[in-house]
Amino acid sequence: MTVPSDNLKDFRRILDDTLALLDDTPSAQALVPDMGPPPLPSLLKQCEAALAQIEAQEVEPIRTLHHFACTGGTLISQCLAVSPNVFLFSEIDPLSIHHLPQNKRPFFPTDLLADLRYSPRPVPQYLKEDFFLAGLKSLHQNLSDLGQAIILRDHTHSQFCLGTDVSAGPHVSDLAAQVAPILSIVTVRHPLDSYMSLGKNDWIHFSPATLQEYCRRYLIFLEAYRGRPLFRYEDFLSSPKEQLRLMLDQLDLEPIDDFNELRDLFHLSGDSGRRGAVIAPRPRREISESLQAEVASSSAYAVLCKELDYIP
Amino acid sequence: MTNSHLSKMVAHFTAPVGHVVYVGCGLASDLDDYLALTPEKVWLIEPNFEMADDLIALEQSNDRVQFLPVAIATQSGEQPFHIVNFFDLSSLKTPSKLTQIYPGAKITQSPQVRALSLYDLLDQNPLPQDLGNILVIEAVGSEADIVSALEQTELADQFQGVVLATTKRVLFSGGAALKRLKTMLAAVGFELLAEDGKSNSDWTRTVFWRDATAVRFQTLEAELAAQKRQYAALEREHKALQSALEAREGDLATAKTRLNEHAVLQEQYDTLCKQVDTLQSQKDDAEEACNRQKSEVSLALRMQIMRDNDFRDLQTRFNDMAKDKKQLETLLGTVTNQLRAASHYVSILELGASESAEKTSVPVHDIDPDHGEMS
Repeated sequence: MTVPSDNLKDFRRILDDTLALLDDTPSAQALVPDMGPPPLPSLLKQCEAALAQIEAQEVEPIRTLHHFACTGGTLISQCLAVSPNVFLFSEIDPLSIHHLPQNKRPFFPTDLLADLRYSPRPVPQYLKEDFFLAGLKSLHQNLSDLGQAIILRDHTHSQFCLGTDVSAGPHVSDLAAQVAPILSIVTVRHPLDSYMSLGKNDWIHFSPATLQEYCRRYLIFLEAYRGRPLFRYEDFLSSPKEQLRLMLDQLDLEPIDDFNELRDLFHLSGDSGRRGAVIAPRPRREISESLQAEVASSSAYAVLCKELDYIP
Repeated sequence: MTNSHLSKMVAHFTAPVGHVVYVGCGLASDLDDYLALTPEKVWLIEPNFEMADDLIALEQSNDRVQFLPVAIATQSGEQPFHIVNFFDLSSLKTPSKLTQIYPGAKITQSPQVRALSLYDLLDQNPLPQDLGNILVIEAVGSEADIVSALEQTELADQFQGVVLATTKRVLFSGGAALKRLKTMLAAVGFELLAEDGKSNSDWTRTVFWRDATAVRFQTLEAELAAQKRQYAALEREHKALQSALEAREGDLATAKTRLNEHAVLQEQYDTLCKQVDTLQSQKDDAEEACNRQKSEVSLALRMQIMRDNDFRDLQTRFNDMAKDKKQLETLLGTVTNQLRAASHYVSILELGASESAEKTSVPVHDIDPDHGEMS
């Protein structure tokens, strides 16, 4: 084989540049082994494998957590947040106005996004979304650099239980997906229990205020997150450690044994239900006669129970 | 009754004879004897209407004589009066042994008569208080009623003398024997001066005198004795009370001492209570602080555990990355050597190329793919 001199010169120049780079790396000088070098194809394979491994290191995903109000979401979120190096952002919905009084601007000096709502000059929705995405991107980048993961617990009540257009997006997970890969789980509770708790907290904000309407919206919620791993609150209460480990597996987060001792370090909004140090099932609240009638007549309720594998 | 007996009685009087109240006087057969005592007035008291004319005549014949057609009883009012055929045995009382003793006696009629109590009689016909008045009792069967009226002191005080004519045997129910009447009179201060049971086989007459001053004196003496006894009793009671008082005073002194001690103790107690309150407050504060610190320590401990978990997670991930880095460094060194060898070979090729520069080309051997060496 005859090598053209121009090609040889190019090859020579590449080699010199590479060696110059390597010579500038003290560790490379120190780490040169005394043993004879392995065969070149083997080295190439190793380099390719190393490169593939580096490329395989994906961007740190954003974990999203979805559940209806009064379904035990706060307790589950607290337990998930105990996982090492996790930042939990609770009940997030950048487009929600549910928490904002109409006539008087509250004092929230750190919340630019909320302040936009009170401007007499309306801004387009994409601006709010971009604003949120910029913040989330910054948080994600910086927390990833610190080795920390994000869990976004969205506020599904704002999205699915207010107003009439329950299918209007985008949802928080849609926005987060523009920043990083998404790992999501959905948690549910028997709809009759959650509906009764919702009523007890005076949180039924949809109309008509019926079990049928609640279940209709619940089904839309499930459809929006179809395909995401789904966990039942009742299973979690029966075997919290095991269920939590399964959830963390789905979210690619590390399990932790003493989650129950540490969970109350995380003060979350919501937290509407019955409190106690021990995570365990509790008896169902008394069902009124009118609600029993609704149970008997609600088609959506029957569908929802079937969907979630609950006994109506 | 002889005038000497009456004179003897009047001799004891401390004042002249005043009025003679002649109860059951009948035909007033002894009127002259009483008038002989020179009284201011003689009251002839007789309910038997059969005697009335005679008595009225006596009244009219003597200014000092006054007739009252009434009977003297325990209570004033209309009462039946039993008229016996022996007029001096007529009585307000119902006969009991009258007919046994006097078989010929019989009640001829029992008209309703006006009766006065002795009190009402004297109330309506007041006696002179400064003179010696005489009560003559000849009301057979009613003697005890009249004498018992004298037991009221103010009535007995109005008479200094009593002349009593009684049958020797009790003839009427409710009547009293002389012995009992004497006792009753003695009880109110009348002293027996004379008794004549011989002049008449059926009747006994007795004369009594009463010294009101002596009676009053005796009464006062009795009252004085009673008061002395009461005084003695009171004195004993006083002494007892004095002793009790002294004892109480002792007790009081003790109580005062104890009270003072109690006050001191109370003050100490209050001080201690305040100290206890202060200490309790300090204890509460300390407990609160302790609980707060416990809570803070618990929180800090759990935060420490959480951060320790974070740290260990980062450490594990760091170790994995360090291991990867080591492998990459090894690979880097190997590659570096190989590149040096390649560079050396290229230098040889360059030298060969320059030597055959005048020639057209330089033959190049294939690189052995298995050994990385130039073949």
